Amino acid sequence: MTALPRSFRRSIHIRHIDAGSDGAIEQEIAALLSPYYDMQRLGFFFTASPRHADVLLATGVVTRPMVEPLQLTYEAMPEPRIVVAAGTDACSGGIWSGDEVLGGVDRVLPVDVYIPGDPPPPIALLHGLLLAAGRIEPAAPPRMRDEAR
Amino acid sequence: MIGWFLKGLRGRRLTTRYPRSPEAPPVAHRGRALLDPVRCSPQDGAPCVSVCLPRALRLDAEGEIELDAGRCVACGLCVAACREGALAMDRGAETAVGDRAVLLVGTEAQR
Repeated sequence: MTALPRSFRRSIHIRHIDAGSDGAIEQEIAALLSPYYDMQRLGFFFTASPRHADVLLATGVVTRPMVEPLQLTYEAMPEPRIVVAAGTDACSGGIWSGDEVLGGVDRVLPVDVYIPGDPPPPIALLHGLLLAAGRIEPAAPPRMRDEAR
Repeated sequence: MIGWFLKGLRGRRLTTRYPRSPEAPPVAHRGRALLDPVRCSPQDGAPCVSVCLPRALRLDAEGEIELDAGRCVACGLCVAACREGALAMDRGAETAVGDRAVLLVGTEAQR
C-alpha cells in the first residue's frame, strides 16, 4: 500500500466518483461534511476537478458505462495520487454480479485503500482517508474474542 | 442574540474528536462478520455458505470455510446459521485496510 507524502498533511483534496453505487454510501459521505464529523478539521476537502485532487474516492460496483470516466479521472489526476475504494461494492462487487458490472474498482484502477462495509459508517471513511494520507497505521485485523466462544 | 451567545458558551463541543480519541460506531452499525477458522468444522453441509447472499463465505478446495470480508454486507444471517459458534459480528468501525489480502480470513495465505 502507498500513502500520500507527509508534506500533504493538512491539505488533501478528494474527488468522489459514483461508479454504480446504490446511494447508501453517498449519504455516509455527505455526513462527513456535517458539523459532527467535520472532515475539514482534519484537512480533507472535496473538489469538483480531478486536476485538483490527490485522492480518488470511488464508490459503487463499477458498471460498464463508468469504466471510461473512472480511467479518464485517474489519468487527469496529478501524481502522487491515491485511489480509495469505499464500500463493499467498490471492494469486491458485493451482492452484484453479471455482465454489466465489473465487480470492484480494482478491476479498473490500482486501489491503495479498501474500506469494506455496506455502507461503511463515516468513521470508517475517515479511517480510510487518514490511512490514505499516511497519518495513521493500519489497525490489526479483528479477531474473535475468547468470551464470544 | 446575547442569549444564543451564552447558550453556545454553556454547551459542550459538538464535533467528534476522532482520531484523537476513539469514537463509538453508530447505534445501528452492524459491522462485519468474523470467522474463527479454528472453531469452524463444516462437516454437515455448511449452512453459512448457503445463506450468504454475496458469497463472502465459501468452501475452498479442501472443504474449509473461507471468509472474504471485502464481500460481506453484514446481514448477520451466517451468525444465526452457524451451529459451532464460529461466526460473530464485529461492530468496530475502523475497518479500512491497505491490502486486499487482509480482508480474506481463513484462506491459505493466513493459515
